[in-house]
Amino acid sequence: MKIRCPLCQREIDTEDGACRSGCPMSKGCTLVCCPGCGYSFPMPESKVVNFVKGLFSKGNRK
Amino acid sequence: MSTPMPALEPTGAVILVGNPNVGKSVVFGALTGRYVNVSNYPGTTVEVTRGEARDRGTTFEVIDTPGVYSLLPMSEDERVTRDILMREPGARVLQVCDAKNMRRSLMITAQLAEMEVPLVLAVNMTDEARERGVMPRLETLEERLGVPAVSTVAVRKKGTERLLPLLGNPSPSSVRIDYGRGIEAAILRMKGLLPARTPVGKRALSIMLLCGDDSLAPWLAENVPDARIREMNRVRNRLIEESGEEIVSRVNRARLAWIDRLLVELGVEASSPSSRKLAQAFGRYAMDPVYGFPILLGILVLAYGFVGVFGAGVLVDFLQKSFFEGLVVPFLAAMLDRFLPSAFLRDFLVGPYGMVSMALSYAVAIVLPIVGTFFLGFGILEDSGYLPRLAVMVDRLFKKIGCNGKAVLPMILGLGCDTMATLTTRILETRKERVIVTLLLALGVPCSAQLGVILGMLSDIGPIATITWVALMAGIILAVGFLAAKVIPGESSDFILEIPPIRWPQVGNLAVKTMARIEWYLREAVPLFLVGTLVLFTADRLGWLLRVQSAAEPLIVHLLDLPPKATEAFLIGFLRRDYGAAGLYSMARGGMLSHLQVVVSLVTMTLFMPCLANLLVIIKEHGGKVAIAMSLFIFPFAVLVGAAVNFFSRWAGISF
Repeated sequence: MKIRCPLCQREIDTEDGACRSGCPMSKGCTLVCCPGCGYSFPMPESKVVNFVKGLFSKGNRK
Repeated sequence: MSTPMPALEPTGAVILVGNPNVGKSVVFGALTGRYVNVSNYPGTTVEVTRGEARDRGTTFEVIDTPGVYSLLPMSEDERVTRDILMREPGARVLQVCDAKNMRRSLMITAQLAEMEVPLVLAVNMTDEARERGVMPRLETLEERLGVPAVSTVAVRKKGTERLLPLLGNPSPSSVRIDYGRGIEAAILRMKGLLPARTPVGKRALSIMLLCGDDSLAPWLAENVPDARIREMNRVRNRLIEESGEEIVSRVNRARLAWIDRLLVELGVEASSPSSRKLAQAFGRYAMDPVYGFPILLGILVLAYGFVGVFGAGVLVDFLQKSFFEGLVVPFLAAMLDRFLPSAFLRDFLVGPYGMVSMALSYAVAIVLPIVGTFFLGFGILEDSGYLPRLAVMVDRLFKKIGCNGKAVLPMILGLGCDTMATLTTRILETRKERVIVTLLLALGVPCSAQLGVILGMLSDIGPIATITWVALMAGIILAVGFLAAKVIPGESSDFILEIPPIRWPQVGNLAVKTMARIEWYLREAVPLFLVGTLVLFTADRLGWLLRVQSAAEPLIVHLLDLPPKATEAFLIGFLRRDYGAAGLYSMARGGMLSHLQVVVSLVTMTLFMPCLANLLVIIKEHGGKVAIAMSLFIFPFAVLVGAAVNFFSRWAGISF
């Protein structure tokens, strides 16, 4: 997934989470760290929001 | 600067120019095939790739230059690209643009136009631009610039075959940006002082010299008599005196204004004059070192109202008193009494240091509503485009007091997460700078979670306490930073940050972003809250807590003048500052702390090391010795500042 860094506007591929391994608490961490400016922000994807969206889309299919 | 300019490139070369990550190297590959020669540019470590392209019997040398944001060099990469353009009189330029980000690309186009180099544009990644609905109208672009603009998708070799024929005989762009009367008059004076033959357009050289481009010094020394160089300096200094600000800022503003108008014509930006102008004015003032501060203050007041009054007041009241204390804890206690009557289990879950009554109650009922509202507010600031402007504004202030400009970036990032910001200090040039910024982060920059809890606590007391806390933290950071800058040798450096337009945030994006942050926060914080509570519970059961409290009495009770129970908050504050702050918050709401005690305890807690993860990152980045030295400085310093605030306030009769 491609997203844009909120600080420097660089386009980031979320698959490329290399610098996250730098943090000792990186296991299971959903933060994305911009390789351009270093700004860290959570992956713009929420399990709760996806779950709610999923409920609605299931409803639509029915 | 006395680096000699390298020898001339052979005539007829095609120079590829563009921003980083626009697909320049892919276009280079499409034009030249496999046979390339990679070498360092003379006198630098910057790699320049050369290859050959053939078109209907004509052979071109193709030079791929490093990606740049501007041709007014601020880095070695940019100087190399600009020098190649200056050392190649007969060359033609192929600018590779990112169709999705024409604003950034056009910044270079404007400068290439002023250089009067024969130009062709490869507008790359047009497939992605079309998908996003930001595809620029290329006919209008060609018409306005007066040069060919080719739509390409270089990774799929689409459109690249049209480039070489156009590069056979291109012409320079006809664009001339008006910089206003003062600068235009100075450009005319500069043009008159330049030699008859110049490697690029006289207008471009004049603007570079007016902007104070030191890297042109070797060329000037070789080609312009000393008397004329002195006259050039006089023209520049007079212009700075007249305008009262850096010329480069005025030049960039004029270029951005031209680009913004062009983007509207290209159909990339919607034209809605009045609201757009208002947003642009707000964006400009938000970066201004003078007007930027009232704007920052206004934003802090709004954040204070939303996070402090609504989040920490209304939401915490509901969750802590009505939900946890009124419902969850009594219900669980009743269930335990009925089905599992064990005093230990009851104490473990719902006792004074219980996993539910303390750990979960702090995490869910106190910290969650506060950080939730803070994350929402922070998301609005991110999506509106304010945050990069804040970085620019603070950068200017920091430079004025002699600090390194680049050091500002990790400090701003620390407001999100200090641990991640500590990793960002890698962008700084020297180890000394990295250590000092790491120290400033650990010392005085509260992370988002802690800032939220602090705002919540201060909102119960009033604005004077908030102002005192902000002034103290800013003062400590600036004082330590200023002293550090005095000690660190070397010049200050710059950083490049793209400034996006000011926009209204989208509700859907904000919702996803805030939820993602809350999920991340809960996952990281709750385990540590549980561990911290377990430590307190065990210490209490074994009778150590009272001993620790009495051991800490000289510090907590006599020096800081806080109740002995505050020791618990400071103990768990070692794990996470926000957890400690939540403990203080709970005490303040229980009427156990006076207003002065709240301020003293918050100042002390803010200056603590942020969290265990931050300490681990410091060890990882700088080694155990530095981490121990920092801890030995930070913890006594935090207590001493807290004590100083306590004694001074009592002496001056300030009770907040």
